Amino acid sequence: MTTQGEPEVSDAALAARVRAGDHAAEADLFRRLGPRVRLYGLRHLHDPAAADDLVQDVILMTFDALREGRVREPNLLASFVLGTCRRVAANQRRGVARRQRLLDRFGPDLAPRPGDASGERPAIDLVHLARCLERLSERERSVVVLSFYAERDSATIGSELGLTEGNVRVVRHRALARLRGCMVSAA
Amino acid sequence: MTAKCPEALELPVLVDYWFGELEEANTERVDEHLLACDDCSGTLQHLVGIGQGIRRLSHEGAFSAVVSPWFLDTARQRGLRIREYTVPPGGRVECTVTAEDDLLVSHLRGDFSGLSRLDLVAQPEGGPEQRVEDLPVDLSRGELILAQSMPVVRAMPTHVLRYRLLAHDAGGDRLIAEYTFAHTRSLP
Repeated sequence: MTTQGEPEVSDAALAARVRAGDHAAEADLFRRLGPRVRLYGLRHLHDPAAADDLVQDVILMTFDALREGRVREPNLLASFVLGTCRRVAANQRRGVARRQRLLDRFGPDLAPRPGDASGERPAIDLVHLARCLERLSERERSVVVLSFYAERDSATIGSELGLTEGNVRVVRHRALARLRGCMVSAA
Repeated sequence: MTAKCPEALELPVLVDYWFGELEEANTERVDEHLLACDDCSGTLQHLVGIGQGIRRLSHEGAFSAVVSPWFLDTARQRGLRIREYTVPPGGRVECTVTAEDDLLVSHLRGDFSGLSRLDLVAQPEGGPEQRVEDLPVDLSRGELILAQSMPVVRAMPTHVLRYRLLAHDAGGDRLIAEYTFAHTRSLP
C-alpha cells in the first residue's frame, strides 16, 4: 500500500525493477503482495499457519520467476501470482489430506489439540468491537456470530435462526457494513 | 497491476466471497482482483480482522446474543465450559456464574409454533424493562437460547430477573411465557 503523499509506483514497475535485480524493489513488492497472498490463503485454506506458508512459497517463486525472466509481461503479475497461489494451495491441500489419512490410521492421539476459536490475534480494538456488536440488532448479531464463530454457511444459519438463506446474506451484509462503519469511525 | 483500484468491489461481493457464497467464476475474478488491488484487499483485511475479533469475543462470552445449538456444539468442541440453565414456561431457576465458567447460557422453552414474531422483555426486580424485538429463532424448535454477556453477569449483584416472551402481530402483544432467574452472586 502506498503512503499518503508518496508518488504512486505500480506493481508492474516494481516487478520490472525486481527483474533487474533491485533488492529494495523486492522488499516493496513483498510488502504489497504478502498481505494479498495471505488473504488468498486464509480464504482458500482456512488456516492462518497454512496461509503464512503460502505467502513464503508464492513470493519466493514469484521473485525467482521475475529474476529468471519467466514473467514476460509485468502487467500480468497478478495472473502469475494467482496461478502460483492455486498450485501451491493445491499442494498444501494434498499435504493436509495425507496428514489426515495418517491421523485416521494412527488414531486421535496424534491429532493436534483444539486451540481457541480465533487461530490468531485480531489486529483491532476488541473493546470497541464489543461495543459495536452491542449496537447491532439481535438478528444482525446472531448472524455474524454464527457466520464467524460457528463458521456455517448462510443456508445452515438460516435453518438455525428461522431465516431464509437470502435473508441471512442480506442481514450479514448489513451487519458487517455497520460494524465496519462503527470501527472506522472509532479509528 | 497497480496499487490503485480501478473498479472497487462492493462490500457484499467481498462478504459473499469470504464466506464462499460466490459462483466459481466470480470467486476467480475476485481472487485475481484482490491480488492486484490494495484498496479492496485492505477492505477485506479489515473485514477479516472484524471476523477474528468476533470469534475472539464470542469465545470469551464478551457480549450477549441469541445463539443456536450449533454455536454451543462449536463452543464445546473448542473446550469452553458452559453453564446452562433450561427453564420451562412459568419456571423459576436458582442460578449463578463462577470463575470456572466460560459461557452462561439460558434455554427458554415454550411452544412458539404458528407465531410470526417473538419479542423478549427482560426486567430485573425493581428495575426498568428492556425489550428485544423480533428474535432470530427457529420458532418450530420450541426453545430460545440466550448467551449472556459474561462481563455483565459477573458484575451483577444477587437479584431476580424476569423474562417474558411475547408474540407480536397486528393485534398487538400476547404473553407466551414467563421465566424467573434468581441470580446469586458467587464471585468476589
